[in-house]
Amino acid sequence: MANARLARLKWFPLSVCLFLSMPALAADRIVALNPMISEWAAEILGKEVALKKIVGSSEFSNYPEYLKTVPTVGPYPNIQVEKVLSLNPDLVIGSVEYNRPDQIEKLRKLKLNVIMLPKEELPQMKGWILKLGDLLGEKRKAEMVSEEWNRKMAVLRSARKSKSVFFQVQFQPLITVGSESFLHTVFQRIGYRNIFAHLTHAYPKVSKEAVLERNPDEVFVFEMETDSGDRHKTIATWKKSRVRFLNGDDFARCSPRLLSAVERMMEK
Amino acid sequence: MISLRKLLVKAANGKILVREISMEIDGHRVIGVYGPNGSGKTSFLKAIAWKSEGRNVSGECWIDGKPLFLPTVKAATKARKVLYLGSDFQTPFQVSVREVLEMGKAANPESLESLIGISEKFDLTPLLNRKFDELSDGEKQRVMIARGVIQSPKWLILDETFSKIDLDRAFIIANLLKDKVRMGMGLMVASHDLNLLSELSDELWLMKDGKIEADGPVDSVLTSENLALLYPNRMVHVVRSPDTGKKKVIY
Amino acid sequence: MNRKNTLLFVVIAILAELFLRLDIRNATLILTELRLPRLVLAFSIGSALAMSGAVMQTVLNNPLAEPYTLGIASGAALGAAIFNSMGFHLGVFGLNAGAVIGSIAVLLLISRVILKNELRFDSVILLGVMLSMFCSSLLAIWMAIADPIGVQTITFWLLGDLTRVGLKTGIALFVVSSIVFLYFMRISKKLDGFLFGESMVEGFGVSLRQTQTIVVVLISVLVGFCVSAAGMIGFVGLMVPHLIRKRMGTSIHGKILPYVFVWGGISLVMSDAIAHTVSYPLELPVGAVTALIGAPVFIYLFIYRKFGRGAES
Repeated sequence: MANARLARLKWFPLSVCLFLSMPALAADRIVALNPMISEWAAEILGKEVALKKIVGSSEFSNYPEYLKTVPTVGPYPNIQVEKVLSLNPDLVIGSVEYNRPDQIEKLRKLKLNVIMLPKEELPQMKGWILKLGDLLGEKRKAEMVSEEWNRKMAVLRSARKSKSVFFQVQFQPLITVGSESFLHTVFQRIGYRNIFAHLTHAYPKVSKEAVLERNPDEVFVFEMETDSGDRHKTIATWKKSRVRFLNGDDFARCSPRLLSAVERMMEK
Repeated sequence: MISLRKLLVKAANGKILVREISMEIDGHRVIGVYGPNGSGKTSFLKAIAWKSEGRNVSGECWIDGKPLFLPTVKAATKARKVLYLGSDFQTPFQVSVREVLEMGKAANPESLESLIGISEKFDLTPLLNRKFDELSDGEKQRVMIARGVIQSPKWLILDETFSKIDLDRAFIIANLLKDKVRMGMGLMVASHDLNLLSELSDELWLMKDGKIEADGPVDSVLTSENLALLYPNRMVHVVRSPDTGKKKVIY
Repeated sequence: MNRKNTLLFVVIAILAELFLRLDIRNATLILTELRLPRLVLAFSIGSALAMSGAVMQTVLNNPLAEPYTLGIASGAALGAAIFNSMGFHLGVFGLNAGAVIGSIAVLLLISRVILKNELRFDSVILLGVMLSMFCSSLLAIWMAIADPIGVQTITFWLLGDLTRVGLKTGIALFVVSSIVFLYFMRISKKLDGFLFGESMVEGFGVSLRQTQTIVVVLISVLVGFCVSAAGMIGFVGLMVPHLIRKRMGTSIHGKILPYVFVWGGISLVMSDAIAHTVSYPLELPVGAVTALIGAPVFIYLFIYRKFGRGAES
């Protein structure tokens, strides 16, 4: 009898493990509530599995290209709860940083399995990526992806430059990058000094005077397709600094393509 | 009966509009109020109906032995006692004439006047289904006087309410109002038409600078001497109408 | 405007809201958990706003009055924004106490000024517009310094969002606005007394200040609830009462209020049906839809029906 109990006890930890990882194992209809999650998930899962498993993603998920074919659940943070529900997902992944708490609550009330990921943990990202990998049931691949990120990070660090920089997210009104943003952290790692590092919001509004006063060495313009009309105005305004136009989509979120984009930028 | 004790009305800027008028006003007769512009007619009449509108009113006004305008007296009770009507009636909303008349009945459910009867007498039957805001100014005034009669307050105060009504209808309405007064309503009419007032009123009050300069039966008050008090620089003659025998004014 | 076609439109609105673009997968859950609550909420807010607009217009004798022109809604929005950014989530049924506090604060200010200075109707409206601008600029300042994600969420909510609260809130609001409606019907004769302006009110046997105060207090509380539940939804309170008055050719409250109440509900339910299906799954702010439909209708009515026709003599 004692043996039988022991035998049962022996299985206990395993069954607990199984139970805890149940959502990860069972998930094959996944909805990603913001582009950062869908991009990372695609990176971890690979094209084929990703297209099979990710049944819904937020608007503006456009990398890799094939994510555009995934049904949209509306633009974050204002996603369409109804659409999420109609996709009948067994796992919904959102992040505390980018999704509306009231909508998350609503999704949970509808008995959906909603997992919230924390804010990204720069520069390592390891814990964050592994958490996502765990949810997707692809721990191995997640580890590889995380190693890849850290390798790129290390390469970039070795190419350190020491320059002051002004990040232009939007020209009219002028919006820049504050210390809360991942962009600040990433560029700081490779030696760029954000002239607005003291502003704590992620994307604060600043005045043109304040920029000219700080006289940055370089200006990085994150350009979206919609505002290319501002190009000449931007150059005219920041003529004392070196102005570089970067593809805004590449830098819009802390996702796998960010570091490749930074790499490309450094080479130029 | 209205009893006024030291009724004083000041404008918001401190200017005295009505100077401490004390008097007793009996019902059962028509009182005409006349005075030049700015003589305080409107302020005086509104003060009786306790409509201050930014003016500073002091003194007492009792109607039928009761101080009517205490905060404790219900608005519905007041509406049965006294109704003040001006000359200009506007509404930005759509209301039919019939509905306006019905509102008179609603304000005093105890009134014995019927909507149909009054609109017949006031020649309003063809207008009953028209929109009030589409009427001419004179038609609006007729509707509002009719509404006042339907409401049948103890005291009806008409302040220039005849100003746009044509001569014929003004006489008809004046006679209808006189009938009401004979049945017990008190009526005060302010007008710039002395010839209409002499026809309609039993008593005439002449006002100047917030005071009543002369009051009494029309025949004794409406004289060129009294009018000279109001208009020192203008000669005004008073004659008698060959038809009605009432005093008329000519310049 | 009769009972039959009103009923018809109620049915059409309900069907549109419930079944337009309904996904078959999980349809029951979507219907009961998502679409029914927003239907109930849309109807109760629409009817509350339309009724408040109608009564406010007569009581302030200004055809442009509605909770929004008096600054009550802006006060509510400001209150809610401040409360949210301070991290408070006080309130019953998911309603933000900040909104109610904000609307009541604006109301207290307005009524104090009115009673102290015996302001005339037009001054009251002017005061409301000023207060509304003041609150909006405070809100703009708050948006300039606040965190962008929060701002985006608030912006969406400010333009009207019927998905924030659940069925319970919708029903609670409906009950509250129905009670207010019954009260307004009870005093409908008194409200009629306001149709000819302030100077005539007392002559109609209606106590001016008392009625004004009661009505404004009731409406502020109601609007505070509405704004906190679904943000700022303008134009319903302006458009619906005017349409009903024009169609019925009367402004007598006993006659128009029931229709204003129901059509307010219908119009917001319809607007919401459009807002959340026209570019599904992208959700449009419902306040923008009501303004988009309401403004042209309103302009048409005023140019072609009202100003074209003067007094005949």
